[in-house]
Amino acid sequence: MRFIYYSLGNLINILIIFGFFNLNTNNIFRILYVLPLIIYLLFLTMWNNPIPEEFIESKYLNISLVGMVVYFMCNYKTINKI
Amino acid sequence: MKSKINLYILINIVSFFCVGFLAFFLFNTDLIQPDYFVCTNIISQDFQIFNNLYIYNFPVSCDQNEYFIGFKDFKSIIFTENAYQQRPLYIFLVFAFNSLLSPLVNTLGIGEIESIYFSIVFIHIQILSSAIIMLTEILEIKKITYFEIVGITFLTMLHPLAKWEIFEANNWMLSFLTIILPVYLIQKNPKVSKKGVLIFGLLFMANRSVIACFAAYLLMGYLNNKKLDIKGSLQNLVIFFIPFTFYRLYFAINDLPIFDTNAKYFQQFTWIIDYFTWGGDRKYGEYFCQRIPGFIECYFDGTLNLIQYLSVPFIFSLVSGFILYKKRQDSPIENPY
Repeated sequence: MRFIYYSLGNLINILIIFGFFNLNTNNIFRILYVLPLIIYLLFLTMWNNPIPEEFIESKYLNISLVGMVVYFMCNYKTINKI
Repeated sequence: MKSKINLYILINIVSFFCVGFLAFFLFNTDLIQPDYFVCTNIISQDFQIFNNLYIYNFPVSCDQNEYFIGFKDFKSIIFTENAYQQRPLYIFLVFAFNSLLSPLVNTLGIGEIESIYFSIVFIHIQILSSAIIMLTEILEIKKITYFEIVGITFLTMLHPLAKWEIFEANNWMLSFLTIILPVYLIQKNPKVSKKGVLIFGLLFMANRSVIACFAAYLLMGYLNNKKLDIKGSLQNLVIFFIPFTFYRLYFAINDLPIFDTNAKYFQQFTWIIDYFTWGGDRKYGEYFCQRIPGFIECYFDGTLNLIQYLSVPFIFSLVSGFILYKKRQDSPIENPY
């Protein structure tokens, strides 16, 4: 079971780094891209958590979700062009 | 070459900064409730640095004793029933680096345990840095700015695998490298190379799951050549098992007992053989999915849990994955990897 967490979990990380380079045309978009990710990942608990609903406190989840929406709204034109 | 070394050093510096920040933020502030839930506890520990004692909260794993025996004296994992006897590479790397450090550590008045902790973190950072370098080459990043280096290093270090486990002795840290390695090797050489196979053979000595990445490497090589070379495949299999065979030969020649926890306790791969021979005593629940066909549902549930767990990064990765797919579709390139 751990293999799923390590393989798919790492794959998600690789795709995020790919997106960091390929979805953003300048540093402002890169900051907007990493900010919600950093907030989410920083406050995330370990994946052995027996209560899956409590991976992260809801306030941090909400902040990172808002950050993500802001990023996609700001960078919509570039992403749409690709 | 010089720029690659500079990049490697920069990633190392940023990584060490991240480790310092995370060690403080995760374990020594009230901003987050650190909890590993299984096996690891956060314990207040005394650290001897420059002959002074400092008290910090730091994670201690239930596997730590087994690992530390090997880090202090590598030979002991071969001659005793150590859980890591049959996957010695990671222990050897930390042991070797720690041995190199020992004269300096003694001079600077740093304790033995502190030196081992530093060696563990150092080896983990080298693994992650190598993986990041490979990734930038796969993505064909010709010029990389300081901002980008800091950005991708931070993202990698904050991934739960690195964030929680960089402080602990564990050979899972290699998983980020081994998942990138097949793509990197195929991009360097579209054919399966003997050197590449041998690298996987060596990494198999650290973690058995490397065999899945090796299979992916072979598959990508065969897809590139569009033909199945049976003789070449057999040769590759033989080369892959050379390091492991030599290691096992050492046990056979010296009449040493083999203690394989992967097979004995975790029943890695052996449960499938057991299932088809005598039914087997298989594990289910926690980390185990040793049922046929129950493993499909079990892995599916595990995948859904992971998506829920990494929900925000998963959405970003979906968009990135879609863009990657679209780019590959739009650009007619010879090498699909």
